[in-house]
Amino acid sequence: MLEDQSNVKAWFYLLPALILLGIFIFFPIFNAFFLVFVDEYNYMQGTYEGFTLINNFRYVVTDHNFRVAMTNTMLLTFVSVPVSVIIALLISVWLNAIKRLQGFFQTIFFLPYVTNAIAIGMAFAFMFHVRFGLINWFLGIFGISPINWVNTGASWGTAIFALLVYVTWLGLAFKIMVFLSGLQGIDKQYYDAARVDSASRSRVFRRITVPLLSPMIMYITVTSFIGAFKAYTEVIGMFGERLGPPGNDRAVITVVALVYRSLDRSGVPGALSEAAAASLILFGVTLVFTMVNMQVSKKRVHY
Amino acid sequence: MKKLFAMFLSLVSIFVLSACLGGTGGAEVVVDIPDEFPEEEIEIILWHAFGQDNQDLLQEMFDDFEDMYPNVTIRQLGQGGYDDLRSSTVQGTVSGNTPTLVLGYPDHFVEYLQGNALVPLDEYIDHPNHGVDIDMYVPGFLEENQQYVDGNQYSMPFAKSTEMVVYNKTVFDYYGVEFSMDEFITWDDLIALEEEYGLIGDGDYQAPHLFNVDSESNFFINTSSQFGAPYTNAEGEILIDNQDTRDMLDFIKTQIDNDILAIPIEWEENYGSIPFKAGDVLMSQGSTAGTRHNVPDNEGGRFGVFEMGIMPVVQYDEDNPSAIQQGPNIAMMADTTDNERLAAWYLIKHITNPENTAFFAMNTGYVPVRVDAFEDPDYQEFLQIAHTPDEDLTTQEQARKPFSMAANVAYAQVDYYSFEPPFVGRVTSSNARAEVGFMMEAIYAGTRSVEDALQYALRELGQ
Repeated sequence: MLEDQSNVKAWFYLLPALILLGIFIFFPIFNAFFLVFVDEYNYMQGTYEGFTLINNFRYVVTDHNFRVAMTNTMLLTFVSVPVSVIIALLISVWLNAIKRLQGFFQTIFFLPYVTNAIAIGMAFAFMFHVRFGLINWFLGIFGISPINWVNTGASWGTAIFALLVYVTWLGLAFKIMVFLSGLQGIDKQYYDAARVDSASRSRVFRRITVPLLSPMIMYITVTSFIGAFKAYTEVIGMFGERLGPPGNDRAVITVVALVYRSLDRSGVPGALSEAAAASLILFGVTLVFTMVNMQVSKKRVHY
Repeated sequence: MKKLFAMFLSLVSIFVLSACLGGTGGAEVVVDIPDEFPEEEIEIILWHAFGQDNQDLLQEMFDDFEDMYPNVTIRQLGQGGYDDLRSSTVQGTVSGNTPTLVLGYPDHFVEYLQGNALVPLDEYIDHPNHGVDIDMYVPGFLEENQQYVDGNQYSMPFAKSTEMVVYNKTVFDYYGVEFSMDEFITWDDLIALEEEYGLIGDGDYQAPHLFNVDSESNFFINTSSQFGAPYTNAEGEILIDNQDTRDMLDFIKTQIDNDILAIPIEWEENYGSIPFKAGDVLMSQGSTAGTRHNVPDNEGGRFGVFEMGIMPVVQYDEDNPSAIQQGPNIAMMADTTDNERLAAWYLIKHITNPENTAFFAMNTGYVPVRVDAFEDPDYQEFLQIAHTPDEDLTTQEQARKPFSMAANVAYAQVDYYSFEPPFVGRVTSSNARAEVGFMMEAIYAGTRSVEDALQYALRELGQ
């Protein structure tokens, strides 16, 4: 009887959270599943012309931009995440080792995390400017002619490279913070023991730091993969709504940008279902890679 | 088993709930017009995308209306840009929170019609007590509002504009070249001028480019019309895969290669007025509604603060002139009562009457939407400002001179205003417009050849 009463109480305590989650999280997710299986869904009238299994997916995958968007998204994910994880790890190990100005550098490295991604994107676009940019100025010191990275007529290759640099840099801040807190939690005795055994720095890093930090690395890798699959703000920040350099519009479009393109036509029958189909495809791809990550982690992570 | 059943039940209920959600629109709109103007308290809400200056002008007209009909209160709400306005109206239709009147373009309105969200105006126009002499509206503007697939008229012209060409009068005066506000020149004339005077270059009285367009999409659509090259139709067919379009694009490409034609991405700008004022180009084609942005004020530019002239849009074929019309129209939302609709209809008539449409035009660079407004004494006086030497004008009149020139040019083009048909579907008229703009940019930047750019655009448009 008492147990029943406390159960009821617990449900009441949970109720506000459940209602909010239900309205703002679970319902939209299920609604997306619903939208994807109806034909010609008219958002303004709430009507549709029957059910379909694959039509909406077909519209998405046969869209010429889907292939470009998927390529760009994959490239952003599989280049920026590993590179930023490795750089962040090295920076945090260095930060953990220095005694002076540690707080100052921590603040410097964490600043990008609290700065608006659009604003930084614009700053990066200017850094890569063909005439006034810092990058070309720096390359000029070595006699390299100015490269058109992101300006009118720039190619996909230079544009995606500039975007990769920006996305990698943007992802560093949070990773450094997490790694640093992980490093500070490692028992000093391990390092003392290694010093007694005259282990080299690289051996200490490979045999002590990385294994003991592996749960953090795993967490960061999985969440970064998920975040990178959802890349959109970064593209808008750097290239605006053109999603590419002027004259090469949509060259760096991502899957999420594709979803927004469909949402932008929400009044047109079928557009919301296309958006839902694109987002579910992205969800499926993300889920597969996350599961692969989790499987790998079982063998590599030391808890 | 119990858990499975609960899960199944939850899924089914969510699915059913999903099916129930969505818009509130749907029912056919029934028009029932009261015989008399209502006496009850009525609030009319207008959504638009105007800035503060235009809002102030609207408010003056609204104040007059409220004086005439004290039981009516008007509220205007800016929704940001035109895309924001469209998005807000779609969301408003879904949630049952729409205004009484909305400004917008025909491609917005066809989207709202997917939710039966607009009131057809035909019966109001023809009504014996409340109707309006529709023949008094500028035919080109009216035609744009009568092109909906079901044959009904869902909107009335309100803040209409067209394109014009602003030019650096200081430079052309130096060469002794004069342009008329009433007569267009052709591309052949323009090319001949460049060959005769060498207008392109880095020297004095030269600029790196001769001619610039504000909107690549407008330029493509209007030049297609000048070339007689099909673009799209009201059924949503994309018609640009034809030899005339290819010839037109080849012509454009030649002008680009010869530095005769440029587009704002040359300077990484969104608008042509900036390079024009900087003296990087001698002529710029843009909207009459954007007149104030073209008035030279860049002291650090190549020519300093130069004198500006305005002329009609340059034509390809003098026998087939075309100037694209722009600017929002006004429509009535269906989620309103009969009395609200009638009051809103009176407001539409009020803000488009000869005095008010002339008043709005004189202060904005828009064009009067009624032909009788052009005969309005105040408007005639306003048109004369453009033909009066500066020394004979007051300071206030001098400030209005660019608007007067734009108005003269708009008036000169009134017989050949063109427009593009709106449509929705997997590809919308907005998509088509954006895509041809991207195609122009790709050709300009040299990232694609003419044929590649055309094929790319066709593929993007699902062809």
